[in-house]
Amino acid sequence: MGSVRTVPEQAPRLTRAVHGVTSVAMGDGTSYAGGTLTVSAAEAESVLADPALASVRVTWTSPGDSARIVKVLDAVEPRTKGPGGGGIFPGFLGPARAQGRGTTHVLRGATVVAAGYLPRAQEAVVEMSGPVAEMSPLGSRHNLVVEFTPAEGAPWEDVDRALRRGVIALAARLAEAALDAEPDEVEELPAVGGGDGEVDGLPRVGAVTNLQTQGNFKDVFVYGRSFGTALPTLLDPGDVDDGAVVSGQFGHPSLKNPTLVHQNHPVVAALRARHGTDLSFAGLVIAPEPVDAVQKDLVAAHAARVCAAAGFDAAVVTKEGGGNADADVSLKMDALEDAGIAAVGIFAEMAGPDGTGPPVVVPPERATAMVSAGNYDERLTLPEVERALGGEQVALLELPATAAMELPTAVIYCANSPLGWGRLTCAEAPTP
Amino acid sequence: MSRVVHYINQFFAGIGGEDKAGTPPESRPGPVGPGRRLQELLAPDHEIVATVLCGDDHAASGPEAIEEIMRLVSEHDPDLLVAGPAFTSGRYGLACARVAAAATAAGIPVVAAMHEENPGLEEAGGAPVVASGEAARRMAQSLDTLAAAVRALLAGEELTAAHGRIGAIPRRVRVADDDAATRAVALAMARLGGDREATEVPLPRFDKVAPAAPVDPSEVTVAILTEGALVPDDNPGHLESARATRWLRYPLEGLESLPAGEWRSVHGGFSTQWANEDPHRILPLDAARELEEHGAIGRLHAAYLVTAGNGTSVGNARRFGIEWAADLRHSEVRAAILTST
Amino acid sequence: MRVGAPRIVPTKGIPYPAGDPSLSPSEERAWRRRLVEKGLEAVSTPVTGPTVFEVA
Repeated sequence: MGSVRTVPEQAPRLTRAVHGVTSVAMGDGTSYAGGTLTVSAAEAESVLADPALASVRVTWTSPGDSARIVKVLDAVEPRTKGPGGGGIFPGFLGPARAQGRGTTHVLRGATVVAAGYLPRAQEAVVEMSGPVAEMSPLGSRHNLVVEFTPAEGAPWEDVDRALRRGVIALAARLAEAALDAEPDEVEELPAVGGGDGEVDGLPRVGAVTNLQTQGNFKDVFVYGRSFGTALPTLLDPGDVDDGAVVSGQFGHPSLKNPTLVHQNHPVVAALRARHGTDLSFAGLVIAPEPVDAVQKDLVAAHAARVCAAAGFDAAVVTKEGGGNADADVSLKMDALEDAGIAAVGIFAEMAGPDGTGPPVVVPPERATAMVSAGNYDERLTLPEVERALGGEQVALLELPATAAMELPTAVIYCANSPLGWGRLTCAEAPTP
Repeated sequence: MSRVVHYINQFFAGIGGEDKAGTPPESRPGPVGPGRRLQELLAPDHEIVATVLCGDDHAASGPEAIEEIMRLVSEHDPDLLVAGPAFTSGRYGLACARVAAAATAAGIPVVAAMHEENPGLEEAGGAPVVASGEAARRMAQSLDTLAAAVRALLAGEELTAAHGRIGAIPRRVRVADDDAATRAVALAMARLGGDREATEVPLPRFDKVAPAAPVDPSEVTVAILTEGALVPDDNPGHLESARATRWLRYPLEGLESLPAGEWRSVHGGFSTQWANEDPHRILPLDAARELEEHGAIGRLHAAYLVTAGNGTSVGNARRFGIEWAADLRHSEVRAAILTST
Repeated sequence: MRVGAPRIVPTKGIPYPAGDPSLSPSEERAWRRRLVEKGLEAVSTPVTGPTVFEVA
């Protein structure tokens, strides 16, 4: 037994002041009152203005609307820590300082969503009503959709950067409207990773979160910088609440982790929920997903060492992206098990439209505990809708974006959330 | 009396071997070939009213062939369709599996028979398939199993492992009570509690591929292949960037190299910047030509085959494999180097 | 190894299985030739199961 460290009475923690958004409107000024978020289009457009963008348009779409968003890029939940952001989205809105302390104001139920064409972005669809709406985290939220026209001659990389900066700044600006409002809920988050009297003796369980870092338009930013060349590291879970992880990854729509999902990291939430009850939340390790096979091995080995040094007894390993990202999960699961750390991976199955193919492209060799996030090949039928945002057409089908269509689950934004947001799974069906 | 239609290939119909593999589908009254013994086993309750036959190459050529076969089958208004046994024959197994899948989709009860390691098996999807022996010398026992399965199905039973059922049982999407992250943490706790078996995903079984015998590459035709989606710059064959449903063949005759700008990768799963800077990073034509000139390669195949290996279903990937093997064999290619992205 | 192909030559990365952009053009060409030579060695070698042929 090691010595038990004492924790200062005022352990540094993060508090979330949650303001629910139950209705939205466009208006002359930006304001938040009684659950209604009103946005000034002119102010939003000025926040988004950038030399790389010729014009932008902002439009609300809400749950139950006969509407579809296509070409969905990133989605961000409005949050701020004070006027001008107060340190939220470190490295983008302000200096790259460690965050995860103090109070963060959250507009829960609202999202700022960029939608439109970028190179390498794969067609991503959100339904605002109908049976498919609940398969995406955006289907149950009020979404302020940002559509854009690139400036003539602007390089696509600049358009991407301008959108990322603008959407983050707009999200922080909207949350600022709630700074003086009485929160609906105040959530005290546990301090994580150190010794803590109430959790001594409980098994230490942590998260290992792979970030798909594969070049322009397929990248993830930590403290404002690409995480592509980094080694795995521990990140304070409060840091993800404060937007230290920002997505610029637009491939594999159903298998992507937008900024919104990092801000509400599902594995972190599940570990916090049981922290002090039957487990101790041991920490969050983030790791890049390199394209290079040797690097994949190195990152897996290093991640296992970081988890061991942090005293993990078990870890939930997650990915972003398609089949080659399965290897990043499987290599880490095996490396963790070899180090005596129990590993569980979340996998989206790629079992073909009829669900009869092998579910995982690159399974672990020694680890065995896997959670299914549904079959990304399963076909879905989408009804005709009145209105579409983000584009005129669905890229894959060359159909009007409002038309009735059949699509694989793979195209529905976050439908097989590899970070564990969704409730889809798979089970063996009886003989047809 | 139930009406049964039997599907077999050109070989078992007595038409011929490889030389007759292009035979188009045709229908004959009553049982043919192995159908005669099957009829004896099914009599007097059930009657094989017709046999539909087709050459292996034709049947494996694509969806149109299966549609032609199914049109002939439907003309006889069967209560049940039976296909095979196909043993370990790849194209015959593929055809039986596809016919079974098509019949299931059309609402016609069906059972196919083939060996468990037949590469066509997965194409049956959720349609019932029962095990046969490895080769025709196991015909008698294979037909016994098949006849029992036919009787069970026509009696309204469901086929199970007890009937010799093989192949994947379809996995279907369900909505769980909790999100995947919550379930993953619960699974981690179960795992810490000593449960090493708990999982939502069965460990996949990959095919055991019997390695081909070695060849001397300086004596034979060698092909270069890729799933890196390298195509002529205007992508004339419309290769998909993800979830490919097709593969393409492009000539290499007279080409010494693949200049940037004339070739590009349309793969959607990685940055194609490096591939487009130098297409040889995907398809090593320059090096292969050099080695051909030095005699290390007897002859470089006059075409390359390409698809996009990005989220491709295992069913399609398996089909591409079978079709590539047939295509290369017909071209007398004896060895191939496949670049994998 | 995990997907069971009988003869495997490991390469540098997913986007460039027959190249390595970190090398100079002539070095990269030599690397590619060594990869293909290793592939030819692989097809001329008897194997019984998945076997990795590393380029030295």
